[in-house]
Amino acid sequence: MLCRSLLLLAVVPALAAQAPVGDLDYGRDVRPILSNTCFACHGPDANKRKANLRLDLEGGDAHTKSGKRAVVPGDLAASELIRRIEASDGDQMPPRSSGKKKLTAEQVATLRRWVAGGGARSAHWAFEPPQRPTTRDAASPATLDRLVEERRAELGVSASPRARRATLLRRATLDLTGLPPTPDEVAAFLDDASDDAYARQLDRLLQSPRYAEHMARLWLDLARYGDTHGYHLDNVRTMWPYRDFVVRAFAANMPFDRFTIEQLAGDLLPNPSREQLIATGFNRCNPTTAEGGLIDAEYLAKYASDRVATTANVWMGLTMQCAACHDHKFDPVTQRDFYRMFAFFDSIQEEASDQNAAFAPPDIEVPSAEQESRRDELRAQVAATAAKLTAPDPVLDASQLAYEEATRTRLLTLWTPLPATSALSRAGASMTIDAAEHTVQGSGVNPARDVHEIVLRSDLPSIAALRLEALLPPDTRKLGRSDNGNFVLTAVELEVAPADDPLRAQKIALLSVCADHAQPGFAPRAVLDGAPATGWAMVDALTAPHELVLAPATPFGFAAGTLLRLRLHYESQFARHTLARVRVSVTGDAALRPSIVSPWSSVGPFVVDTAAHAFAIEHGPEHDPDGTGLFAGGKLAWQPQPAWRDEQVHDLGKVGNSAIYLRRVFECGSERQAEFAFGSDDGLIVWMNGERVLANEVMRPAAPDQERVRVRLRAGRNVLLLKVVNGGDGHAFFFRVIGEDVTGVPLDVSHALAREPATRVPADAALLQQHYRRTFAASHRALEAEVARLQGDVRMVTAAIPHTMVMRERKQHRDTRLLVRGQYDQLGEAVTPGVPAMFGAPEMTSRLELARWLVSGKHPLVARVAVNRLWAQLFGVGLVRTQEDFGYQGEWPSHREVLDWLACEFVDSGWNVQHVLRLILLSSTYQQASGADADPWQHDPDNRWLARGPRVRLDAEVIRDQALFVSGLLNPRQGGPGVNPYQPSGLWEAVGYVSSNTANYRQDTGDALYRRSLYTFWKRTSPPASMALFDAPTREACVVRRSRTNTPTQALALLNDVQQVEAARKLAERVLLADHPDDAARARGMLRLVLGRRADVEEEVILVSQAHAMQAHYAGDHAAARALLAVGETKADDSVDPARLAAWTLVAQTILNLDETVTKR
Amino acid sequence: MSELNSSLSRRSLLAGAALPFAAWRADKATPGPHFAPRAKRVIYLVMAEGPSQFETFDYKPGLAALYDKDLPDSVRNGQRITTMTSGQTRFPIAPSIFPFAQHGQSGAWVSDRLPMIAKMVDDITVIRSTFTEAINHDPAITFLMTGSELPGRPSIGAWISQCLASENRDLPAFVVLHSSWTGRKEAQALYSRLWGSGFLSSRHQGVLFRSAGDTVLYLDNPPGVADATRRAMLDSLAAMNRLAHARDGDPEIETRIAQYEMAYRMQQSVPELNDLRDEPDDVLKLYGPDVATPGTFARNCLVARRLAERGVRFVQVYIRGWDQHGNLPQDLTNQCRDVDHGCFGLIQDLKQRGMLDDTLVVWTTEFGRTVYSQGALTRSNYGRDHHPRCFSIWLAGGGIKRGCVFGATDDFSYNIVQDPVHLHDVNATILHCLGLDHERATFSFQGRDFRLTDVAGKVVRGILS
Repeated sequence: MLCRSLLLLAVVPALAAQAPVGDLDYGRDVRPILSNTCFACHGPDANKRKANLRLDLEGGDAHTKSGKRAVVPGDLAASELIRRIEASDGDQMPPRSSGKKKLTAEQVATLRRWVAGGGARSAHWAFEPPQRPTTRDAASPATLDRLVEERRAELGVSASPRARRATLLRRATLDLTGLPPTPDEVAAFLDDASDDAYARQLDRLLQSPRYAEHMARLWLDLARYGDTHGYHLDNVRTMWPYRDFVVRAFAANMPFDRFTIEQLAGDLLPNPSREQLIATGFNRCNPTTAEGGLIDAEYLAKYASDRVATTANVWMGLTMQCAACHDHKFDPVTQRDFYRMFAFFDSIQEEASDQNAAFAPPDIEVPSAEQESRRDELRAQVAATAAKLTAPDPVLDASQLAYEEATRTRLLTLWTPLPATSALSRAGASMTIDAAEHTVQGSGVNPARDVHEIVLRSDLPSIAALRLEALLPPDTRKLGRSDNGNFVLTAVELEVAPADDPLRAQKIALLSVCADHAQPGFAPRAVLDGAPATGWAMVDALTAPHELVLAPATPFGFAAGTLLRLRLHYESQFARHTLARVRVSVTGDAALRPSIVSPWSSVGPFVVDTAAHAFAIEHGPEHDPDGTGLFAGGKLAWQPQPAWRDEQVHDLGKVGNSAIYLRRVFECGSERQAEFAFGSDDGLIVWMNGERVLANEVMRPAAPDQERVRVRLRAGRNVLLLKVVNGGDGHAFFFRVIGEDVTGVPLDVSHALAREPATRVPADAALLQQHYRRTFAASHRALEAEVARLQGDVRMVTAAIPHTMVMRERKQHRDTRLLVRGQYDQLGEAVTPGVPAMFGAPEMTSRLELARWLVSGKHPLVARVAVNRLWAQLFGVGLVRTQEDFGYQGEWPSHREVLDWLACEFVDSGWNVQHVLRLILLSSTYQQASGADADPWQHDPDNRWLARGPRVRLDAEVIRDQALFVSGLLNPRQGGPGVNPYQPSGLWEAVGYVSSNTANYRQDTGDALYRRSLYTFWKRTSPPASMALFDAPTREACVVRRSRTNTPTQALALLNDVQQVEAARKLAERVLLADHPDDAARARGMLRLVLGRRADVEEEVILVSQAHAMQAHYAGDHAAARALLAVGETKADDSVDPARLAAWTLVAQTILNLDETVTKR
Repeated sequence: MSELNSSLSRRSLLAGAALPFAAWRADKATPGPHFAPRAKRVIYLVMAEGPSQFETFDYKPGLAALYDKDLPDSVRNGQRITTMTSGQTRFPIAPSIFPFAQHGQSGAWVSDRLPMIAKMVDDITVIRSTFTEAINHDPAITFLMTGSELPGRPSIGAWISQCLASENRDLPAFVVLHSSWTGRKEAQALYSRLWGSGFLSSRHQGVLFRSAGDTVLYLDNPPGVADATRRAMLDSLAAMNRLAHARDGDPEIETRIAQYEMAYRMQQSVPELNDLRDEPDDVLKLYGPDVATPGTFARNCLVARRLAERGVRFVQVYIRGWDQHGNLPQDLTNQCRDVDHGCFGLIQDLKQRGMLDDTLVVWTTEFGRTVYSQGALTRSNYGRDHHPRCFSIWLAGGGIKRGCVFGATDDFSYNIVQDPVHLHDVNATILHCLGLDHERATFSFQGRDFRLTDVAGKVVRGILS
């Protein structure tokens, strides 16, 4: 870097002569040598410092072991530094073992001159505030030109002439909008003889929405913006509202200080607007993970470190991440400094895992105005309707009281709670019996697996059924004792004995079972199936009591009283899933036993022409309550289906458009309520005792629990009838019982009723009212359905509202600690938020203060770093080439005064980005021609002397956008979710996590294909292929500077990418359909569309002869022509002869592949 | 990024127009080997997701007697485990259900799942004491490939491309192949960063050679554009570009002309690489029956050999599907079958061509697996969680001992008891075989000299021949 410029000086004699002896600048000439070769062991890092010698500080050699001084001003012989760098024995520095190269003769000479000249050190230029060059501070491009010209004069080179106007307009248009000018724009400019013609063109370009998109695209590399999470599954992340914020900010020419504050700390502003919150997405763009087995602290530290590194790099040009593990080797940034910065970002309300969801909290909704008003309206309707549900109703309320009294009396006699005489845990949990409540509660140790054994006494002469209530313990309010509050009861065993002869125990086989609720896959039947792994569980309803009812084949009991020994097994793979608190009751009333359910029988398929038809018409079984009918002219009869189990999706065969009927009988001892879940492929109608309770005409694959329906079962026989309708292939259904209330009253209602009216709590009243009205008032049920429908609408609208991830501070800040060696689990000293000590800044406590400090206007780095990026955007190389490093190891600026002047202009103009762009674009320096004779390319390949205009290969996105633009394909739509344009097949599939939602690439169609590349969906683990080939970064980390390569694979992409071929065809069509007198004019017109200039005669000849040769070729091979014209989604224009269009498509490809086309010159 | 990118092609042009394939050629900035290399090229086989060492190379006969016993706390010693199993209340020991036998002169133990590799143990060095830090896939495989758990660093192939460039003007220095697999369907993701160039010039990123679609992205001409048509178009293009060069003098234009010519030559030369008609039957047979199917690991091994033969420095063959958290016996069996014959064919084929002497073959992964079962342990089924503290890999060819077993783990393959080899050490050793000192193969970025081995790594002398 700097060494390279020195070498460059050395190889160009004319320049060496410009640097007379004595004109040595410590910062420019000396420190880079010391920094690169010495500071690693004799610099800021205290842990790695050797011999107690610091060469980065004046007097840093005062206390060395040897007592010798490294630098004795003016005395080469006494200066140990000089002796060591010249030594070739064991004293040699840097030592051979360090791997560092010996200093070159020039470097030694420089250090000798420095010591001889007094060995003075000066502060690093970039850490001192920029100085406005006092005598030439007019806010005019002429100032810039004067400063550049002075440097050219020193170097002995002269400026190039002004670029041709057409070239200049193309350059400026590409630089400001990322698109070329139209021929009309060029013509207008050429015709405009006024003095300010060019300035007015710039004004026009700065106003263009294309300007904002182009600037935003460049910023997004810094923000490491992507449309996926980046790690592991790399699922979709919706951050595009942030991307659109950046576009809006540039469109409004938002001052850079505001732009900074809102992105770093918009959430901490007083009453932040939605826009200010979206802006904070900048530091939520870091990659995140949800990998199974992740360790939270490790990833939270990674996220915060990424934010420090990115923020320091983007605003200060500092490579702070070096100090995550140790003090910085070169720059005055300590590890403590790093973790003080880290502390600013350590208290975000975020979880380590992004859960593979589209957004990870903290996030905000970003609704459109339409979505917002629609939802407000719906919510008001919900509130109004819901209010009616609980509105007083004298008639209903009076009858409710009567119902409560009657039901209470009935329920109190139905079940008899049993006192427990003992309760034991096989694995050692403490079991506590509450004699008053008749409950048994577990506490203390909770082993992975356990069996609870409870002995109870009953005085009922005959027990027809048992009830096990799962109750909420007062402390945890969850039914189970596991971490998530769930339980899995895997088996229930019962032994009984006469109370007067306990040794005469016998096993009682429990044959039927039901529960008022069960989680999918954990039906109550599993407690009787003999399999230890399966059981009854409740993940979705753990905060209310539930009951399990068990019945033997015949009642049992002893006259002297009965002892019951109940064993509750918890032996699933789910550790510690035990019930916290239970109560056992019995009844002698056989009517309360679980209903007896018949196997399924089915009839069908009834094949018809369409699925809609199959759904709509009655095929007969609707009117066959006994299940004995014959249908379809006697050809179809009910078939028993004993193998169909609940909780499984059953295939009904591939039968095309048809309906199948399924039937099942429930025998109940008493009137009761039940809830069923269904799934179907495709449509479904359900009748209970002839009443239609569900109809859903859909096309879908079957899955568990697609519908849930509450039904009333009467005492006796109940017929459940399903009609499963199929369209196309695949016919299937799913069924399970979610729950059955054997008393007809839900358990929580029973409990509320059981309490004395005086001791009821408000929640009880609400519950009872709801239960009563729901059961007995049809108008209430209709209202509930209406509320549910409206709530569904609210959910639909809400689900469609995009979210974006934002910053929010935790209420309670984390105690940030230094992480020793950067290891998340090696906690060091506690640190408070702060910026590196070298800045001498006042104490600050929040991100907002950090952001304000950065753009206070006094910061030495921020403005310089920002204007240097703008310079690099225009010239291809920054005034400081190392845009990402302004520290000691960074390169000395090629034109420090220009950089400082622009930095001052930036701040003094109110951080006006467009002001700085105007200053540069209006300068003669920028407007120089970029072509040159051979010589300058050799001596100054990167144009650091600014003796010619900028010349840079276009960025990946600009190359694609330009092709879309000149061919007329570009869709100018702004904003919204990313789009998936053409991409070679198989790229995502080759790398994607199989179940990731970005495992398969689904290309868009229609005009979504032709959006600006800014809007291309960015999958970070497989970024858009054509862009990656042209050096686009992956966006997994902040990239300040793209590389710019020139490779054969780029040639292949421009020649063969579907998008490029299609664009060439559209460009050819554009030209062939335009009013051109002859092929020469067509060739000129095409070149002008792409390059904005007139073709030379030689060019015209080449293009026309190519067109003719190709046309002759394709005239003889129409099939080939048609094949070429079929590339891409747009249709070729029929009115053009295919051979002719194919030929001109290749001419267009030639022009689109020109070096000049992919270069800004 | 410092000096290499932007001016590279220009500089190579200055060096003489005799380097038409500037982008993939060594130029003056390419350091070249530091000392005489033992290997000229590397074929690097990536068993993504962590094959179990217990069912492959790390024979633990003592475990049979400890079936379903708890792993002693003294062995685990409080080490972190992933949160997938940290909730498990027990850590029941799962012995391999597959028998092991000793093979070859070296007497190396190999399980019966890898019968073909077992036949060639005398050609390879097995390291049973490899270790790493990361415990989850994403950071672990990123570390394996780039020497850092965080994205942003160049991959090993990019480093080697940067240091050594390609031997073949017509092919990139670093080629990547992805394989189909039949083990666990639910495979982990791969990431382009694993063959990315990080802060090195993007011309060093791995070039994907695909088994379906264009072999190299955008290689094929569009429909209706025959070779001669393309040639004629390129001639017009070159003529136009030469006019521009005469006008503006920018040497980058000449480079671009050369790159288009190179692209055209690639169109001729690359398809031939996938065309196996010139491979005799006895060679095909070495790789086993899968070689007939494009995209299989065996086929990719053969393509890798063809690439190596043509001077590609670094060929990387990925196969996913080794993440056997459950159903290990069945899935691992399938996965072993996917790779066993291909590995054998590759080594034997290289050997019979005399290429094994200067080709380094590496068979590696991001971490190993636990001695205890994840999920239910039965006599016939179990799974294993991630285990970074020790795992088995093997190397063969240029510079590597033949018939060597290196390093050892404790009775539970939980801790290393002899000759630990960090992944940084493996990388240092790979570079060493290529004649590169891993401490001198550096690149200056953001003011710091970066290297593949970060600030660690030492050459594993004990496996060098």
